[in-house]
Amino acid sequence: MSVYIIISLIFTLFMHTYASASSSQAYSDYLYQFDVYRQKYTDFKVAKNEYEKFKSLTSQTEALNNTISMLSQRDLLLRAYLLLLNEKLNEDQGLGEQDKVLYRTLINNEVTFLNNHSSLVTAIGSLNDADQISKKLETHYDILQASMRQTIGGISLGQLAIRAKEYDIVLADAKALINTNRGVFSAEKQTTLDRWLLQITNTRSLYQQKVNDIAGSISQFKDTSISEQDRSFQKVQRSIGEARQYLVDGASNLRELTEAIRYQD
Amino acid sequence: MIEQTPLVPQPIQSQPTPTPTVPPAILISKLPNSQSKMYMIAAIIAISLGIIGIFTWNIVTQQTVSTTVPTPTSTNTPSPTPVRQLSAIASQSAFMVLDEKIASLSSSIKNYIIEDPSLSPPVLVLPLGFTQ
Repeated sequence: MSVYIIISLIFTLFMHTYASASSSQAYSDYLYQFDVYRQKYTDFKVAKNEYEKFKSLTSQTEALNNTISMLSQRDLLLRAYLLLLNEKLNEDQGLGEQDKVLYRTLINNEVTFLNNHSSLVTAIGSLNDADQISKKLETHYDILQASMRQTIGGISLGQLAIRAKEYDIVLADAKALINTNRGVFSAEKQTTLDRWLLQITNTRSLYQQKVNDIAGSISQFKDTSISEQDRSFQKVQRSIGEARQYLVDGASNLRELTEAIRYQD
Repeated sequence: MIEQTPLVPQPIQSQPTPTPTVPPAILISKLPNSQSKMYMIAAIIAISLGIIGIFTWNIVTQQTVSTTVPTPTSTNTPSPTPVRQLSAIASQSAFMVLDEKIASLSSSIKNYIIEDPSLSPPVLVLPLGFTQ
C-alpha cells in the first residue's frame, strides 16, 4: 500500500515539474519568437522606406519579401503567446473544468484563425495582396485581444481560487476544532470565538462576491475596442487585488483566532 | 547809640596743617632674634595651610564633577507581563496542524503576484502603412 503511495507521490511530483517545464519552455519560445519578430519588423521598415524612396522593381521585390516574412513571423509570435497561455491553463489547479474548457476554446479558435491567416500570407503575390491580408488580422485583432485578456483574467482567478480553497480548508478545520472543544473556555470567551468565526466566514463571502464580479467583467471583453479592453482589464486587475486583500485579512483573523484558542483566558 | 561798624570780611588765616604721624616701620631685621623667628614660623604655617586648603578644594570639586553612574543590579522583582495559561486545546495535534496550515496560507496569499509579468500580451503595430 505504502509503495503505491510513494509511486503516486513521485508521479505527481514529476507531473508538476513537467507542467512547470512546459510553461517555462513556452515562455522561452515566446520570447525567442518576439526577438525574431523585432528583427523582421525592422527589416520590413527599412525595405518599405527604400521602396517608397526609389519605387524601383528591385526595392519593390525586397519590400514584398520582407513584408511576407514579417507577417508570417507576426502570426508565429501571436501563436507562441497563445500557446503560453494554454500551458499556463494546463498548470492551473484553481479553475473549474468548465472554465478551463471555455478558455481553451477561446485559445483554439484564435490559433485556428492564425493558422488560416498564415496560409494566406504564404500566398501573397503583391504588396496590394499583403495589405489586404494584413487587414484581415487588423479587423480581427480586437477579438484576439479580448480572448487573450479573458484568458489572462481567468488564469489570475485560478491562482486566487487555489488560495481560496486553502482558506476554506483552514476555516473548516478551525470551526471543527472550536465546535468539538465547546466547554473548554468560559461562556464569554466562547461567544467571542463564535463571533470571530462568523466574521472570518463573512470575509470569505465578500471575497466570493468580488470574484463573481471579476468573472462577469472578464466575459464582457468581447465586442469592445482595444482601448476599452485596456480600461476594463486595469479595473479587473484592481478588483483581483481587492479580492486578494479579503483573503489576506481573513488569514490574519484566523491567526488571531488561533492565538485566542492557544490560551485559556 | 551804638555805633555800627561795617562788617569787613576778615581774611582767613591759614591754619597750620597737622603732619600725619607715621609710625615707624617695624623691620624684622631690627626686631630681636626670638621675635623675628616667631613671625617667620607663623608665615610658613599660614602659607602651608593655604596650599593644603587649595589642594583639598581641588580634590573635592573633582570628585563632585566626575560622579560615576552606578551599574544596575538585577533585582528579584517580578516582571509586569502576566504569564498566560495555555488552554487544553493548545496541546492537541489538531491545533498544531491548524497553526501550521494558517502559517502556510498566510505566506501563500502574500506571495501571490497579481500581475504575472510573463503574461503581458505583445504590443504590435499592425497597419503596414504603404502609400498607394
